[in-house]
Amino acid sequence: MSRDVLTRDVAVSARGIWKCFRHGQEYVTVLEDLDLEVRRGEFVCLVGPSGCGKSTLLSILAGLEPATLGSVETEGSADTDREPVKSAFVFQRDLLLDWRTVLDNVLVGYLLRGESPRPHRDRALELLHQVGLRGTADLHPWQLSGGMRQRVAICRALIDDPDVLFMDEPFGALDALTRERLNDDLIALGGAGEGGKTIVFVTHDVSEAVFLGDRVVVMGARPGRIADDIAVHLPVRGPELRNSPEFFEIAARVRAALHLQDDVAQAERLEMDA
Amino acid sequence: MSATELHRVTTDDSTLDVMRTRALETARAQDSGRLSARILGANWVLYPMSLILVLGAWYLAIAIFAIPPYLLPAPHAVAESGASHMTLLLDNSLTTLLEIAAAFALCCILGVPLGIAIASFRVVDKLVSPILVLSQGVPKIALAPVLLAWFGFGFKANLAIGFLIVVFPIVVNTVLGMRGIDPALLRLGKSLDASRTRLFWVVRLPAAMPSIFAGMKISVTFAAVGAIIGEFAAGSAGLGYLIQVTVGNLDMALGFAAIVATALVGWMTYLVVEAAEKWVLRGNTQQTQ
Repeated sequence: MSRDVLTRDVAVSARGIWKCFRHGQEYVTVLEDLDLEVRRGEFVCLVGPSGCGKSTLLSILAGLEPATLGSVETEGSADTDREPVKSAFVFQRDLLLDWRTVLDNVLVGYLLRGESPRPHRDRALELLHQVGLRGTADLHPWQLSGGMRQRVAICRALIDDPDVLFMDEPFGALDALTRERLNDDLIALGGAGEGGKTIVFVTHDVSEAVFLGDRVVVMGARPGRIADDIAVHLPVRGPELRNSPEFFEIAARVRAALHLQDDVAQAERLEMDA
Repeated sequence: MSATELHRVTTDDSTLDVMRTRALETARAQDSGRLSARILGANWVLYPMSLILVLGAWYLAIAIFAIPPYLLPAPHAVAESGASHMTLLLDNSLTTLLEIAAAFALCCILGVPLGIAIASFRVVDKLVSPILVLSQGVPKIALAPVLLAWFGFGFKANLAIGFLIVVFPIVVNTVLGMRGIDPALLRLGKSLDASRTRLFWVVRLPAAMPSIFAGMKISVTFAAVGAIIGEFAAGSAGLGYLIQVTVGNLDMALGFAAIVATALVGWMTYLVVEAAEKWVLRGNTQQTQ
């Protein structure tokens, strides 16, 4: 089955995803018959109005929660002759353990799997150094600012060198300046481009989506479905990209698609009220 | 000084330097506050003062209401009696201290795992919780005669009474702590392929520790109460026993000395638990004022 579904360069493939939740007495459909394919090395951003189920979709793609109907295939998941891909998740909140040091937090995955974190110490320190957190290894998370904490959370996700990274509004709680800085860092960490990691990134920030993504997938709400799929063909990614006309043009297209979805949602709400 | 004048003054370099120094000094002075407030705010001043207040009220009450010494001895008489019976007091304090420690330790050893089991397994919760809540409706002292019949006078009966009084807060707070875990931390565990047991030791238990210690701090004071009640009902030694005997003989001075010793023993055990809490939670935010 997976051999048919997954062509050689597809990292994650979701087919016919439905998700229904219990909401009070009734069940509501959050995701409706949704298909999404993410190629290897691709950076896909999911944007959509709040409540469109983009975070739920991400959780399903990452295997953190099951879909009601439909299937998710990750590279190697059903293939016995291929090594299964490693994936990691970055949450909106950093979820650092306050009673552990920064270094322990980066290495916590090994502790949680019952593996020795010792051999990975040097890599953890190197990662911390790369994200500008040199000298913080022995501090506790509460001694760091919000932006620094989220950097630690990113190191925790990257420590095992995952092939696929799922990120759920990781910079949503940070101020605009810190967010842009972390976006630059994420690009620098080999997040985007050829041979980089496959990243699925949920955000409600259009600029962030266009700056980071190779593709911006716009979702519609109630029930969540894919409304538009916009390819971002931009030259070199770097801080200067944010001021280029091409960047604004694509951002405008994404915004237009988003507003259309928002208008549809509002019209539906009015219809329901009437 | 008008706004334009101020502007002219602050643009002058040398004046600006003077102003800088003055601003820093002012900030420092504002922070340190008035000397009297600092002295009154210090622990080493206020703690002895509360003691002096109590002693003053004590002397005043004796003087105003003309209370005879066989009902309420003066503080200095209590101190004298305590000093002359120091070995007796110390021996009985030790007995009480051991009872407190034993009841508290037993409750921690049994209560914390029980709380964890209740929080982790629905079956245990449904089976044990009703018994636990129901048992709280029974005054423990009412069980003293029963426990006396079972265990006889002395340490074992005392331990049983202490256990019944102490175990509840530990269990309840452990359950609350375990259930209060941030669900997002469990999702993090899942995303990192955590094993069930490792997740427990690395995330669940440490996250519940502040709540468990809150329960322990309540319990250790309860343990002192339990020990004294046990000695009243079933004791042949200990401060509770000593209080009963001396007050029964109208040796009020020694009785009050024993009461003071009880307070000191209770305070000491609390401090020990608090110190343990500070040490165990030393990495947590809550402990860094």
